[in-house]
Amino acid sequence: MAFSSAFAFDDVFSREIVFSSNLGDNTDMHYLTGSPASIIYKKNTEVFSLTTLFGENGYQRTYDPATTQHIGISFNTLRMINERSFFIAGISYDDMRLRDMFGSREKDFYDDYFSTIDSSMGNTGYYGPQLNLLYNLEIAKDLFFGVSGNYGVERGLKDTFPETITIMRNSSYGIGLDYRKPFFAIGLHGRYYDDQSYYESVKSYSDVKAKTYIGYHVFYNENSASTSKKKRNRMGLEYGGHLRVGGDKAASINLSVSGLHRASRAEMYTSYSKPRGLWQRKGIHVSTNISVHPNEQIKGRFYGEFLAYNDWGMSLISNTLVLENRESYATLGAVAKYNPSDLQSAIIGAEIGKVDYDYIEYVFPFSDTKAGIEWTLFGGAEFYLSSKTKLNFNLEYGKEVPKFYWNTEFFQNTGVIINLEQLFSFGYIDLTFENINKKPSDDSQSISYMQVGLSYRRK
Amino acid sequence: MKRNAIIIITFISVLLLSSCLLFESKPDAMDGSLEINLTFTIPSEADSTVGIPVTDMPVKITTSNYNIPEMYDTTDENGKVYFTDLPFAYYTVEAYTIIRPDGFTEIEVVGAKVLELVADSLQGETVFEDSLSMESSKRGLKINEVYTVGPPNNIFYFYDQFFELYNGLSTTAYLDGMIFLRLSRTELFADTLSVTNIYQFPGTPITGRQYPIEPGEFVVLAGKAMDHNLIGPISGKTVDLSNADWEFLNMIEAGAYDNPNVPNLTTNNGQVTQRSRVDFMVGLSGDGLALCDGTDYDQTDGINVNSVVDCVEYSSSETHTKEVPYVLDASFGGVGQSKYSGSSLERIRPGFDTNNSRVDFVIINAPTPGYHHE
Repeated sequence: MAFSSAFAFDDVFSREIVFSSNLGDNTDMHYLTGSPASIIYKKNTEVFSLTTLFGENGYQRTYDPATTQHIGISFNTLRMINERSFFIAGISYDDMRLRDMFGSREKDFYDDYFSTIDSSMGNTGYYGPQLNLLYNLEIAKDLFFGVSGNYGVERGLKDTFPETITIMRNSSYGIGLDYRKPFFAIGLHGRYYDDQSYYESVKSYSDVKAKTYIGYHVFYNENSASTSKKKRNRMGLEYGGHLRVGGDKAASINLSVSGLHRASRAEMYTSYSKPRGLWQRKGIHVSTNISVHPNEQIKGRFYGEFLAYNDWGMSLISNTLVLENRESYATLGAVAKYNPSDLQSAIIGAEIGKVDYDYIEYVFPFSDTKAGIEWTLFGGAEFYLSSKTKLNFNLEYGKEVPKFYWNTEFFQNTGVIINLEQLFSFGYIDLTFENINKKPSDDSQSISYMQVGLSYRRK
Repeated sequence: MKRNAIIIITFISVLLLSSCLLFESKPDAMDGSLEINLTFTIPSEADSTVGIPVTDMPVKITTSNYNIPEMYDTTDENGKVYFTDLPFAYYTVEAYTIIRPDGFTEIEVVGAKVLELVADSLQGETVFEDSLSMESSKRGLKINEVYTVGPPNNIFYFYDQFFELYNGLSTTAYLDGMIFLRLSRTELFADTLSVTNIYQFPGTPITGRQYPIEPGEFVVLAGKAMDHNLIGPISGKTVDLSNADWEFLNMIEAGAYDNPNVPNLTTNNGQVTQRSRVDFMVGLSGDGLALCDGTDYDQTDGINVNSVVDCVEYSSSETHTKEVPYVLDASFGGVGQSKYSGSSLERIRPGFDTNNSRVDFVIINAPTPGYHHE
């Protein structure tokens, strides 16, 4: 959660509502850990997908775009090399447009404590490819080893004055070990990522007046110049272990514990570097679930998640501490799935969580402490409309407690996903429609995202 | 099995080692903890080496580094003010009051200083103490406004530059034979000024009485004395200088613009030598300017600093390296000003001069030729 936002092409503006209805194979712990050793596939697969996302920020923060549009196209293939190993390769191309974004030179101003703005108001387009690779090998009996890699480049251009060019590069490398028996598994995993972003604003009318925020209230006035350049380097490390007791056919308990570190460094530069800020994050992420399978028709899961991290930021202008942030999220949930037959199923679930935010800025004193309860109710059904057509829909309703810069007490979230899958002689065609609406507690405007996806999966 | 154990141990070791090496430790010192303690005094009339505390005087400190508000305090009975919880930054301190030593006399005094209070200069200290001796505002003939950056435009138009003089004296001053200089880099403790461009008012220096400037009067020296709003792309964005008091004219510039209704500031009948073949222009975002009495007009060996009536250095960059001797200007103004922004640099009050342009000048949103901003 805290980790993946560094990917160049993660659409950090869309908060996906994660329907916890994934009651798949209990022995596959990849969804909990992200470990390339824990992923389980048994046959060759190819998936081609095209996704479009439209977002409208009727309610927005100062440096959010008014609307977003994201089009992504991807192709992923899995090949069994032999009985003991397989290989996954994927390539994707994304195009994202952020419209009417005031001042921000960043793709997501709020994702970094040392973000930069300039004097512009305009539209930015980001586009670029990404490559994903994963290799999984059973190196000894029941001992699996996996490595994964991600590499992406991205270019952005703001079409107003001053014109801002952004070039981003990101890479991520994962490694894992998983000792896996039908009723027991234990493993280790690690992941390293880094990304570099380069920004350059060029004047048209007047000089570029850049400002580097230190936190979210105080900014440092950069010298006006005809060209303003910035570099940002980020990196992160995640490592942990996981444990499963029990198998897919009976009760099982899964536990994943991982630590995470993240660092981001921003600097402006002209003919020489002018360091501006460095911030680091240290956190812990615990995920666990207990799955029960009392009979063929009913399956249930209780799950819990705890994520906590501490951030601190240092001004590289004064070499002093300028901000600290502590956040924690503790969530408990339960979901039940009823399968009266192979042709139909229904799920129902609920989760409740406690969030704590404690944020302090020192340059010019500001602090915000907030705690609250979040909850979500969700349900859905899946059934065949005909022998070759399957319909799946999910609904969600919940409350979310946002950070202070949203300037609202809470969001009321509603979400719906409708998925239609059709079997053809050449494979499956899958059409997905998703709509998410976030309504702030004290504003009539809301944020809405509509996503339409089309994918092809070989039979 | 042994091989697997080696793989696992290596794997864990690499992860733990990399987590230690890649990240830095949290600093102990916090920003926003700076404290500035200032003492304001005025030299005693009986013994000028003794300072008398200035009490009940409002003091303002500002920084252009951050978007934090101006802060005010009032001196206590010991002449002290205290500002706390400040970030490390460059600050401008400004204090102004009128002292009445007796029932018939008023003295306008100012205390102003630029404080470089960044972490490196303080070397870990968080309390800065200093004392400022109040000085009488130096009244005289001053360069009151410097408009150099050009109006908002995308055709690189900056030919509407002008300079404004102000007579803060109680008597008439005369511009006869005075010279106006665009300076080049000069040693900071030199006694002569290096010159890029030189222009001289007509007449005889010091003794001439043809070109008076009355007390409280503004005089506008235009680069090109024309209505610049007549130029399409900048129409309505700039100034009308067709009625300027003086116009710079380069006699050796081919086809130089010359408004026949405005007297020229040029070579004073060949007394000074113009070497540049282009218009009189100064740097948009940084330069040095001097108004001299004209007693030394031979630029080949530099202009004597003792002949300088007023001098201004400006730069939009805070890290600019000073180019004008400290004795003429202790710092430079215009920090943060943008090219082609239509803004101008003007003294805080007409003729306000503490010999420190960082303090004396403010950036105003639009030029004010012939009058002072509100």
